[in-house]
Amino acid sequence: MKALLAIAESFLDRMTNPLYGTEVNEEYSLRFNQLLAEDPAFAASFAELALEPDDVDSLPACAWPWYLQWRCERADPPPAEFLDALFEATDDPAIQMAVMISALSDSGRADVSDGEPVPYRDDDSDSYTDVHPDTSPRRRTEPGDEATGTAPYSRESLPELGGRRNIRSRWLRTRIDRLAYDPQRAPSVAGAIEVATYLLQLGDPESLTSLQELLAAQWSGQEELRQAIDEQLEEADLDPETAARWRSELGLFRQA
Amino acid sequence: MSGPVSHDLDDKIRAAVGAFPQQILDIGVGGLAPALVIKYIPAKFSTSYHQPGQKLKISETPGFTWGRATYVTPLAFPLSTAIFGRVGVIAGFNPDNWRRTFDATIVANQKLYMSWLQAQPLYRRFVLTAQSAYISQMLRDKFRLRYGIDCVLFRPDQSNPRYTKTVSDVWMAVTDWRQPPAHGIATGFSDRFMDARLTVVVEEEFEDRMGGIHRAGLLNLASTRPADLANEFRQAYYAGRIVRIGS
Repeated sequence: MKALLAIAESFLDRMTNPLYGTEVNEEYSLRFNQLLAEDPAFAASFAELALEPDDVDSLPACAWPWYLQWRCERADPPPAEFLDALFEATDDPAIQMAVMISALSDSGRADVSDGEPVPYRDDDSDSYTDVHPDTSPRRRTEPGDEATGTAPYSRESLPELGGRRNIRSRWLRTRIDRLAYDPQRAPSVAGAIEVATYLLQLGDPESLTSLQELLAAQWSGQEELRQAIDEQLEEADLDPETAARWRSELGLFRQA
Repeated sequence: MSGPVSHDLDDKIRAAVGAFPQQILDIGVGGLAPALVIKYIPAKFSTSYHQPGQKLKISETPGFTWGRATYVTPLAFPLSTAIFGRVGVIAGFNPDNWRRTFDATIVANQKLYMSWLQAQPLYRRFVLTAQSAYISQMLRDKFRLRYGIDCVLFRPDQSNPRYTKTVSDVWMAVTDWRQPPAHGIATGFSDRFMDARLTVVVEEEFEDRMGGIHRAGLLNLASTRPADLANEFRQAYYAGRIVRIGS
């Protein structure tokens, strides 16, 4: 645990935990902002904390959405490994959304240039390589293979590989890999729906491109995922023209 | 953040966002004085407003009605938010700069916002989860960001009948935008208001009842209030005096 986080823990708890009430939250928020105004060096070091996965428990859960948002406006987001650990540590949509916003922010995806190889860490590796995930020789299971027991195939042959290249956030690509393709775990349709819902809510071009690719990826949960997002569009009570445009942009085509 | 919204609803909300309705302001005899707002704060933070240059704080913790914003009331409602602190700080502002105001005191506009909210992919979680304060804040910020809303006008959602009229008072949530090229709602201290000054001290203590919906006074000594407090507050503000209000 970082010493600074340890010292800040109870302060940030009082600043962000609704259980203390608005009055206490605002009192600590005011003190925090006064401190930042008086000591820019502290503000810079706090915004650039080198967070590691173990640091997830250093702050109360309610403080992380605030911290990620605050940091997003001042510095690069925390490393993908930390964001991943925080995302995994909770089902709280507020925290998971905050992680996604951080990971998809301009600086959060700045490590990924269009069409260029990016550092990528295999799930079972501790080190980064310069191999693009889409050119990794790892073998994957084709959708439906789990039931039929047919032979897996190499990733290069999959039609979705080109698609996921368009997901510029390394964190998000890794997350989708884990949800859909990780041979160590069962595919998580619920997890994929959650991620897709957040992307739909974010709605910016980067998030929607990522959502398109997620919906286009072929895996055992694809149809269920597409159905869930289609139902969300239905629930939004859109006019027919807007609904058709969204479905078209997301690649969700309905039978007449 | 911007999820799918029906074209028709989108257009209606854009049409509902317009100039600041200056008729809600009490701008003094002749209408020549700058517009003033008042914000009540706890006594322990009040002394800094004795000095010139102090800015009002942007409320950024979850739980505020319209998300991250500076919450004030027009001086026309001089005691409406006294339930939140003993000290009234008065500041000036220029409503001409707020071209994009959403008047949520109008029922038709409330319905537009609710329709927009229900279209959001996170709406179900907002309604059904215990973390709704955070999601609510996200969605409200998103709404203001999407439509570039400088100011939301709304009816009080916490009250004490001796101070607040929930059916007629107007409260304001004012947005500070981040400096371009950044995009979003700012944090810290507001640049929307000028010359904030400690002007009013209220002789009362309040505490939450019914989860904060009611702010109960603990003294309740006074039976009547002086008339035309807005004018008295305005004159005191310009004269650098402090007005003391009995409980």
